[in-house]
Amino acid sequence: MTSRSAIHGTFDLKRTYPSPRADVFGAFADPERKRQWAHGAPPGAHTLDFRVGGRETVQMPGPGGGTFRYEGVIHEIVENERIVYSYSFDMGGGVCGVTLTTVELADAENGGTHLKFTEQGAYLDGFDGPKFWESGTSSLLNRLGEHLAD
Amino acid sequence: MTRIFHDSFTLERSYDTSVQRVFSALSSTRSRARWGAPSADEALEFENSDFRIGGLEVSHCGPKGNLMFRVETHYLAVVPNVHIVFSENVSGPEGPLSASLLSFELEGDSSTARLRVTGQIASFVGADMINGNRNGLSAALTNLSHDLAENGRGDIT
Repeated sequence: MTSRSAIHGTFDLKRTYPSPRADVFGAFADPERKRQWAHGAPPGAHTLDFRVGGRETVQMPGPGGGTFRYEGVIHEIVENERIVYSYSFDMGGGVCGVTLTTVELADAENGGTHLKFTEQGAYLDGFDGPKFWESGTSSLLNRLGEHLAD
Repeated sequence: MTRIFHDSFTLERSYDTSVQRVFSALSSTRSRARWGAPSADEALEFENSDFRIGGLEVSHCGPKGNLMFRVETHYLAVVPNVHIVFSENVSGPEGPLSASLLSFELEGDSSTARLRVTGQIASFVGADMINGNRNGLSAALTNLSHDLAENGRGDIT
């Protein structure tokens, strides 16, 4: 294929948090909480309409000087158990990746929560895909842990 | 609650026509309604057309006379004649069945189009749904070959 071809990859990450499932679910469902731990976006740069068919957007200055854009849509919600969404991201030069994400929550010992985060992605235009994104997502889930501990 | 089953597959086809015609066929709901159903006993009908980044199309498919599956297509990345990436949610009478990410990549020239389709699927109802998705799409891509041949050399809209 040409240099514009896509690289496809899948990874899953697992975490166990001491917080109950409702709290972990709430970190994804509450727009203000999600803005803080997931995006680090300034107020006004993030929107989240948390319902099936609802959209999530981020638009803020990117690390390379352009505008970073995140456009997501929620496909499936089972309260305190499951969230499925897809999103695209654009670092300033067009959409460079699209992913389908599933978040699965289950009870852990002592009232905690097991989280399984699976991302199936299409990384476009030579964007250094799955490894980079897995590393970034792993950091993201660590940030979620810190957020839950606050 | 049943765990989510994740899997992926790749399908490749080569068509004796231009990349532009195949891209047109993939982006037109009128064209897709012709070849998108896996067999002659099944049908695919669209409620609307909304082919653009951010666009949402709703369609219904299933046995003719009983289009029991509802499909939502969200277009996420489009570069004309190069690629189309969209998510697709399928639900049945009893609720959501699967969410998938589908990438259609094209390359070729004015006489040959090579198409590579990658499906990445999360099934809410077990692994059979993933096989069903792959087999249905594979049949549709074969139908597309016939449709391109039958509908002449002009643009498909």
